[in-house]
Amino acid sequence: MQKQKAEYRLRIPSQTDNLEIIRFFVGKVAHKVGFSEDDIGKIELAVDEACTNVMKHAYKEDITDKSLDVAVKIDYQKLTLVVTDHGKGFDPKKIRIPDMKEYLAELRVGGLGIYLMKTLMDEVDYDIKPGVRNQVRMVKYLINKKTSDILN
Amino acid sequence: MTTCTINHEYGVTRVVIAGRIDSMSSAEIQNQLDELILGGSRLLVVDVEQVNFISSAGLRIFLHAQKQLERVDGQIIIYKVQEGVLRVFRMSGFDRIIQLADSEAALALACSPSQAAAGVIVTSTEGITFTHRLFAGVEPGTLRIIGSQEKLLSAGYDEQDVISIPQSQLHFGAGLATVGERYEEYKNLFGETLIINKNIFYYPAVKRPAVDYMFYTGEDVGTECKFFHGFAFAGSYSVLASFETTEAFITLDQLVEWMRVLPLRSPLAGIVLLAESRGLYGMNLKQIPVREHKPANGGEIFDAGQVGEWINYPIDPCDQNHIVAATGLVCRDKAACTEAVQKLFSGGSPLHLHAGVFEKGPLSKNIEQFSEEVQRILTELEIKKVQHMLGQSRFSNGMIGIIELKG
Repeated sequence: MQKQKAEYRLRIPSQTDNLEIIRFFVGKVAHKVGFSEDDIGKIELAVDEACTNVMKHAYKEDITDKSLDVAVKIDYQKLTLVVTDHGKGFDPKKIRIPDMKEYLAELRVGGLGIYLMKTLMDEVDYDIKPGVRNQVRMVKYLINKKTSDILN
Repeated sequence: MTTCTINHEYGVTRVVIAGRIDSMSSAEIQNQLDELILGGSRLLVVDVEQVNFISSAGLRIFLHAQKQLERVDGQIIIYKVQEGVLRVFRMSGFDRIIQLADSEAALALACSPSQAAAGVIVTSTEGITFTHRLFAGVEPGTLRIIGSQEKLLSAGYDEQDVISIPQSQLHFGAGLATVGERYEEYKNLFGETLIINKNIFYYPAVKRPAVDYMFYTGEDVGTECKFFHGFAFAGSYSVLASFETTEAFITLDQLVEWMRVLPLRSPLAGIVLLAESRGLYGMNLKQIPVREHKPANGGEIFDAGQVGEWINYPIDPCDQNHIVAATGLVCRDKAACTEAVQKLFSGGSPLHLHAGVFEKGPLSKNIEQFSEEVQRILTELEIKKVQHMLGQSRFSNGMIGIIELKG
């Protein structure tokens, strides 16, 4: 992996027909910094889920700025994905991560995207400023986090 | 660019998807799957060999299809899942609830018919496939004729014509009836009535009608059905059958023709029909034929000047894709029936059926589950109307239960 820090930004209309461009952009950056094909697939899926959430939920209300920002930050051993939108936002405490056993038993259809994000990435957190902007921040470590902990 | 191609082979519907399944492309794929299921497909093989990306939106459409198909004994099989996509299936646990197949051999095994039970006969003619089971040694059931249709045409019914029958004594039946206690209260609520498993559905002949119903709870709570005329029957099924067609539709008349060739002893049969509509021809009254509404000139309700006021009879087939639950009589040999029975069939028609038109949805084709499916439709689906159903009515597939009756 390159040693220096770097940041890549994409501002794009919040429409599902742009998901492919977003995945392509994030995938290329992940490839450049040395993630395995396997991990690149996971990162692409995580950013797809985060952006789909924004497109489906946060933008239901009538606002003028219907664009979203995707930033990929490279910082030594980790890749940080930040998706920012200007939708209404929600209370992250109210997000319930589904128990997959329960989910599949009931064949329910909500919360699956968030479950996948949490599973695909090493860290997922939200920063909501109601009416101003919402951010979801996701981190993937280049080497397995536990290994890096041991090394440290 | 994501593409979705569909081909039908040997009773299996194969959906070949190429590209990426995300929230952009999933809506279109879901529409295609929904349409197939509504069109009667029960075994869907989704070939994803050329799919290199799937998000939760994609998983959701497969789960949705699986949910719909499970209710009607169908199945979705995801064929040739590639490594990256397989990882998402595993991560979410979907590989444990949705059948995956990675080779033609695995697919053949997953598709092997579980319905090949003993005693089931499958026949195909002119694109229509019937699957039926005969129950030997079943005693013929009983028919009860209620009131008379004589006063219908002249709109001459009155309070003394009302025949009251406890709900608990009505297994299956049809007629011009209602539910209520005092004549003054219920006289404005008569309409086409359908009774299946003691559950009563009636469609008052008034402006802007809505179906009213009285479910049977298993004990007699004193509910009585009030008839001007009709019939009721009870007995055990001699035949359970399912039918489907590769043509555009099968008509009710064709179903009756098929019933004629069954090796049954009785000239008269009571039937319970469940079907997916491809266009119904139904009639219902727009006014209640009581004396107060009698045509002024002494005419009849079918007279040219009157019929528009009295009968709702659409020229074009209606209610495509809706589920129909119907019951009534089919006459296999008119000459062998009594005069009283013959009077139940008007205008030379061999059938007298009332149909409940329920909401759209898929229907099971598993005859072993016939009674459960009847119950599910009556109790879980919303009913729109009850009509006298005509022989031109069209279906894509369905099931039928036949009770032989003493003619």
